[in-house]
Amino acid sequence: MLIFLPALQVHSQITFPQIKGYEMVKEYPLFVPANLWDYINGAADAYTANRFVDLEIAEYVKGNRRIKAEVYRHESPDHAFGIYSMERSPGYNFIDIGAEGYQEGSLVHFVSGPYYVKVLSVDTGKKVEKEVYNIASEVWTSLGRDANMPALLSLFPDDGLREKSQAYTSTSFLGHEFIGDVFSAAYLKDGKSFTLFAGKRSDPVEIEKLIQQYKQVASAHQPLNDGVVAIKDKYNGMIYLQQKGNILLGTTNIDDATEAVQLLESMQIGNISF
Amino acid sequence: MDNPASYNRRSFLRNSVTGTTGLLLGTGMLHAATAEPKEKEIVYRTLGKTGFRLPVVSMGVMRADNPNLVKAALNNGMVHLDTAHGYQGGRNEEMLGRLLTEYPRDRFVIATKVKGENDDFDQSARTVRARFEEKFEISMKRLKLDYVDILYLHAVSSKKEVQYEPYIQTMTRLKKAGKVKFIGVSTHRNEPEVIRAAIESGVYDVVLTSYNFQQDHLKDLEKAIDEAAKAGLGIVAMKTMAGGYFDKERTQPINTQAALKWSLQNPNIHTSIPGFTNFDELEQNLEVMRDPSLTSDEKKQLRLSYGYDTLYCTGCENCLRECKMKLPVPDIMRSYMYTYGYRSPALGKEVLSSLNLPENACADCQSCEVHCTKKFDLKAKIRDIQRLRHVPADLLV
Repeated sequence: MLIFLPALQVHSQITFPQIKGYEMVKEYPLFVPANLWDYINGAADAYTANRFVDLEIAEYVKGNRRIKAEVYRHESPDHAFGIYSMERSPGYNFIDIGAEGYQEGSLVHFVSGPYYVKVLSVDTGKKVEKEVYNIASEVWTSLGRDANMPALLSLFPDDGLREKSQAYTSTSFLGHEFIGDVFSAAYLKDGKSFTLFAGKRSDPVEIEKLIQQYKQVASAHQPLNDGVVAIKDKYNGMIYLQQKGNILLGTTNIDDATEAVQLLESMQIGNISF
Repeated sequence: MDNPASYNRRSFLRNSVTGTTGLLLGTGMLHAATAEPKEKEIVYRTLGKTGFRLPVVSMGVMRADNPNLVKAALNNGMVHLDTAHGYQGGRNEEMLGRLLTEYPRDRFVIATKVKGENDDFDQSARTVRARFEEKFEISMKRLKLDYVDILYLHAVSSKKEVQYEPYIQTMTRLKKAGKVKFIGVSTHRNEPEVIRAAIESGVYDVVLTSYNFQQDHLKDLEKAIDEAAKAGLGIVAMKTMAGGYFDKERTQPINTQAALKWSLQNPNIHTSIPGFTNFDELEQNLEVMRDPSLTSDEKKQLRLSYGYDTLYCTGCENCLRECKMKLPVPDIMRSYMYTYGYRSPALGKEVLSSLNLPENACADCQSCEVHCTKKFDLKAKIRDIQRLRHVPADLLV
């Protein structure tokens, strides 16, 4: 049913584990950005936007049962987290696997280092769910068991943080082409919903340039105390930005300047070296 | 205000998400926009027998995760939104579900897609139907809708899949139950086969297909699209940007706005669903929505010098049967294409020199009896290009 283009001649990066009782089968070609559409069609664009490198697939077969392990490799842990967080729902059943992961029925997804891993079966039932988890766990081991979350996530304060809302956007954050590679988290505090975001660059000049670009497309902007800039974004409402060295901090959906400044100050910049 | 230029740049985007919130940051921050040039009207086409009258540019939502972008698209005249069960792990449909509660139901036309499982052909019809319907119901919950306007069988590439009875049974049953208004297939490989299978089945209302200026099998694809349009199917184009680059190394970007316009030159394309993720891209698409005409400069940028339809011989060889003088017309046209398309007259001369043409080809014919399927003025083109034979090779590049 699936027709694939010939795979590129790229050496496999992954040693899939041998699982007792299962025969490991590798029938799928290596997928790369040029042919990922052939496997996951339009969903591929989100992966390539997160600097997808390649996808290796192994299937574990026991009789009629097939459990598939898909290992998506991205350029960096941030980008792997980006696509993982894009597809994750806060309501999922989170389990102890990877830097973060969840199991929903006979499907386990997790992120670990530059890898976004999906282990799944079309079969249902408690037995197959356990087997899927076991295989996922073995795959995590074969990938080195990296359990570290992206460092910039430590910036975000816990007070009011909506669980599992942290995300990474590689391109066009807030719909602006010049803002990318940004972490964000959603908050609910005193009945108000808002978002905090943060991005790191190699050079403070890049942050200055970004803020300047934002000012150029804003309906209005105004400098406030403590280096905070208030931006009236025609599409996204009030945005407050603050530069701390080579780190950009920001708020969305907060109208009041005083409140925004306090929230920006609460972002734990001391945890980050720059 | 500090930056009137940028405000004017977006001045045609009449409706922002926030509108006039009344927020002021201090004196001198805001001023009214200068007078806007008169906008062109949105260009609409009817999506086949669905009867939906849609702007020629719609929104492929699949990569967008900013609801403000979708709102801006709707607020500026877009009507049709395209998503799928599998996009962003379901979060794409959920985002739309939250956002669309703010709009009257008849304000938008929404399509979603459900894909079969890899082993559906090995399963019982009952299992296949149940699986398909389960996915659909999950999509409906995410979208928070009572019905979708279009449900596609997602990403099929063979007649077998298109005409697989359990899929057809499920989709037609959902249509009868009022949960789906129209059904279709989406394809980005073997498109002519898929489109013809959809026509033959007699049950599908819409086809969503890859369609761009770079496709190798464009002639057959356009023929299939034409057949589908004549059969009353609505045709939606996707992947119009042709990958965004001319080269695999991604060093030669394609003018994506021109590429989108190119796809809309075909009147059988009723709308298109470019995927966009930022307001700059939205702006460009809104411009095309109001003016899809392709300029000669844009054609050049797409490397369609002198127009795609005036340059590329399809090699049908009709002319070889009809030309009284037995001229190698396809080869002469190739020389023409090298000269004017590739801007390589040296290559064009090389081809001509290899053909052993009579001194003044076409001179003995009062009129041309060849019926070129591309409607080329063959006599004029041959007269034009054979002048190259008299230009010294060392003067050509």
